[in-house]
Amino acid sequence: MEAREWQLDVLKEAGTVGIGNAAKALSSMLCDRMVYVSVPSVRFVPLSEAAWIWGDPEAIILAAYVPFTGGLSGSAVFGLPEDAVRTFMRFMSLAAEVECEMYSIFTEMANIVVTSYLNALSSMTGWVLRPSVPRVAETMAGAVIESVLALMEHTNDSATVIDTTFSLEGGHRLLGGRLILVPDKMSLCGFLQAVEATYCR
Amino acid sequence: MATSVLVVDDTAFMRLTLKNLLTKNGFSVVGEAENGEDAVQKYFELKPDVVTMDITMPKMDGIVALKSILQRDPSAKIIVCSAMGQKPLVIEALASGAKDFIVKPFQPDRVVEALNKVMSGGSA
Repeated sequence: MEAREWQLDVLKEAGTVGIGNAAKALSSMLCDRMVYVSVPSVRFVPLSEAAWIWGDPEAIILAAYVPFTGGLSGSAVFGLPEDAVRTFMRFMSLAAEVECEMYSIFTEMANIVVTSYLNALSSMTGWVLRPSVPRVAETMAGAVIESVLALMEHTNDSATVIDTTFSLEGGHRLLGGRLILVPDKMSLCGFLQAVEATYCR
Repeated sequence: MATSVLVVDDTAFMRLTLKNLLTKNGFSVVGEAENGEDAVQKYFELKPDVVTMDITMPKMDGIVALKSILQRDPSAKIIVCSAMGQKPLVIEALASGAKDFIVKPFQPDRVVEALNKVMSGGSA
């Protein structure tokens, strides 16, 4: 297997383990409703195309941006489209038996989902991964992704993106969002080596 | 007399969830704090029997706050309640003096059990 292909495979596995743990946490927060997740896709996205990662760059989403540090550093974006926000927040309020302001509920949801994802990556390497407090905004999807990549100060022309969609049944249709992980290039090599050392010895 | 609790978490939603859960189970939530600095200050103002402490918070994280409280009051009973269930962090929190570590999302029974255990003199 070519080095690049092997790396993609490791990142895909990491994404699968991460989203599996995140989906379990999300399900628990939503009265144990079934949360469906897609197989993660790993892509090298040119920065000029970053705005289209989400699909429609003008789609309005409620997004949480969560930078993280540790053996692996980078940024995570957890987002829900407008039509899913109300349903997710209602289920979470029902589960907790409290009513609260939407941004506060969403911040806690993003914190738990992203941290659960990072916990799974931590278990693959033994490294501690520390998320920051989520920064939440309701804005256009393209703007969020572009801002995140700009903040990461990529000097190269592309970013590695691990992208997963998740959904649950709301009424008669599936409602869902995305969890995107953008690892910092410098720390990614070390992460791949650590996973290899753990799994291939 | 009901056990008094200081709830520390940066989101209002989680503070409300814990307050609701604890009140229903006979505890008295005497204060809330939204970051580590606020937690240290409120701990010495209110002198609660137990503290539930989040880790990821602005200004000062929960582990620093825990150490700061325990340095001045080694008898403080602090239960960490965080989504960061990574083994090295759990070990660090317990080694720093936390009485228990609850991983979010939690089951209500787990929280009540942890507080009861700490108040009866046990720890994780």
